[in-house]
Amino acid sequence: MNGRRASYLAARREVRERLRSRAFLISTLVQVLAVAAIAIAVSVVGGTGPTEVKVGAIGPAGETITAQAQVPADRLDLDLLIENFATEQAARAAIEAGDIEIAVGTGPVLAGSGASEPAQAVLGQVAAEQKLRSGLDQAGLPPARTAELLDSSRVGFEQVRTSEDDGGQGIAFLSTILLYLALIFAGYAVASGVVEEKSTRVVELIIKAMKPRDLLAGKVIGIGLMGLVQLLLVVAAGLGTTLLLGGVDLPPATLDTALLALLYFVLGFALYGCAFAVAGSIVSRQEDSQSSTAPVMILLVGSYIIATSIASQPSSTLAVIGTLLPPVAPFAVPARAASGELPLEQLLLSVVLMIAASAMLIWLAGRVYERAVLRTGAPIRFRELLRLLRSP
Amino acid sequence: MPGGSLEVDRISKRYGDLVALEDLSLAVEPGQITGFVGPNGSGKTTAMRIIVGLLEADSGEVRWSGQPIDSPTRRRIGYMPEERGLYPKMKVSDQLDYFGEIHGLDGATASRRTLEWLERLGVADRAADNVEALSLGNQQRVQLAASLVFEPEMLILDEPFSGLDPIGVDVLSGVLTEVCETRGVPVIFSSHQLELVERLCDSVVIVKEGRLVASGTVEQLERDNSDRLWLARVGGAPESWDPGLPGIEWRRPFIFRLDDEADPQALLRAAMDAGRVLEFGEHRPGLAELFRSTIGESGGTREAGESR
Repeated sequence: MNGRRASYLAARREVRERLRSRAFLISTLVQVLAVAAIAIAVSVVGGTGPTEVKVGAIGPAGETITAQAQVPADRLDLDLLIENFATEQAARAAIEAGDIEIAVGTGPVLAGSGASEPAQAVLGQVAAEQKLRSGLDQAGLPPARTAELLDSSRVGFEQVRTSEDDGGQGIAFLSTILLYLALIFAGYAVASGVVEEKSTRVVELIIKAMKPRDLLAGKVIGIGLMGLVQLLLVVAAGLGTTLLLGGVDLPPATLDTALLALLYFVLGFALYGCAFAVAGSIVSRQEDSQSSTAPVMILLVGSYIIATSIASQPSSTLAVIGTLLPPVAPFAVPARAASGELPLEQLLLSVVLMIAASAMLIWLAGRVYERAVLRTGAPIRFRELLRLLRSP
Repeated sequence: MPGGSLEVDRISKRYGDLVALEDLSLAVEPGQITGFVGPNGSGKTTAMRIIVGLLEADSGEVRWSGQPIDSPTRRRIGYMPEERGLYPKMKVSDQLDYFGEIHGLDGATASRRTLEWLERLGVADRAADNVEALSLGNQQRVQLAASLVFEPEMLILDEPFSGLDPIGVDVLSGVLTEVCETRGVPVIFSSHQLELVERLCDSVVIVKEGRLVASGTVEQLERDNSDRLWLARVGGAPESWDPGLPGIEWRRPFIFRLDDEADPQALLRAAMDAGRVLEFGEHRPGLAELFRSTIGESGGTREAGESR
């Protein structure tokens, strides 16, 4: 059997077994729900949802003004709820009774104490414009010319990014945590899968039919693929919920961050997945896999901790080092991208270094795995591992 | 390749100071069932692992139809390891499909063979269950199916009968005989159940401490080893009864070895004098007795005796 077919069969087995596994489906569901819950919480609590303002329109003039005020009010996240009044008197009474906050007509803008200030400003502005319009009309200017003049007096708005956080940091932390979880789940699945095959001796039957390297490749690819799907679902759940609720403006770099997180899951998993495979292959029993995976776990957790401080200081020297250090980069790169502090050349260099490191680890893992996978008994010690690596 | 023969030519294997195998040679002819017996730790498993390529011999060679065995050939061997090997959380039918496919079958053929073998081995109703939900006996049937599903050209089974109930033993014996007789697939299996080996096998290989002790057909071995053994059962005499005649040596109760000069008639006469003769004749040892006499009473025959 050729190697590609063998790897494909091994990968397909991993995918199918995961789809059958209740544990996998539940962990996916939990993560999806957790991220959706975070998105909902942010929209409800932290979000600047539209503020409702009850406005009285006095007479036809009031109706015109309130109608024209809708567009600028929208921009300020104000939702104007209009109630019509025939007279100023009636509107004033409604304000006193607390039924409405503000009323506009031909006279002054009436505002109750504590009335929304942005709404007052918007309505005052529109009322003034309306007065100007009728003044120009009376001066004999054609209505088209009036409209033109008024249009040209409007100014556009442009958002300029400030150094203050725009929510990017929240996304940075979230992406770091999600990548950490994804890598640790999938990585551990590789290690325990390798140990399961060894401890049940099923590997002896498989190795007779395919090369150890093909089995390893299939395993890492299959588990990695399902990890990627899981991460994709989680990211989609977060973005989807946020967009659906519409409460929060996502930071501008959110999509880039999501795409980079997926890319770096792939690159990071090539690295960590292989390391976990090696850790699994040097022991024969599940009990021993705790200690053999410990160094990889420490590397993973340490990198994650470094990355959390990078997320809060995305332009520090540490951040640059983290970006270029393959074990840390899977967390650091999406985090920095979220804060918009990732120069393109650093990203490209990071990808190149990741690929180089992964290639090295894949080679190393293949070498150790094929020598260790049929060994049973006591765990293989580090010195023995080096000897195994040197053996032809 | 069907109908090929296996030759193991003087393989040796050491683990540090421990000699696992020393110059072990054996041959399995096409269409033959060979029993592989020997006390625990005598190297049977090591030899089988070397044949299927899970271990490398320090020296010696394994040949298939005259050619050194290589990995494509090894893929055609159905192997059942002693510790068994199945994915505990995988569905029985998925598992067998997988083993079929990694041995080169396409998906449809693998599924068909899976069903056929599960049916034949009497576990078709468990096809949708996870392996770990099955009883050990049924797991063993599935394990055997895993070694058969890709239509191997040879079967190497390490203790295939251990832990099976009598019905399981019958089913498995039937399958092995059928596979061997109708397809010419040579089978070699290790077992401590010597009566079973005697009943099933065309030939027997006995090993001790990594060395070949005896090999050949059961009749051959019996003939070689029954040389001048006589049975004289005397009613009422103690087990230790010994006629005390020259050239006649007490071996076991009522079993005597006569040297070339001694006359069986003398033994019979002495027996008749001692009491009522219930049985008299040339003694044919069974495999169990052969095993004990070739391995020696000290050589770890305990396990062999335990199996029944």
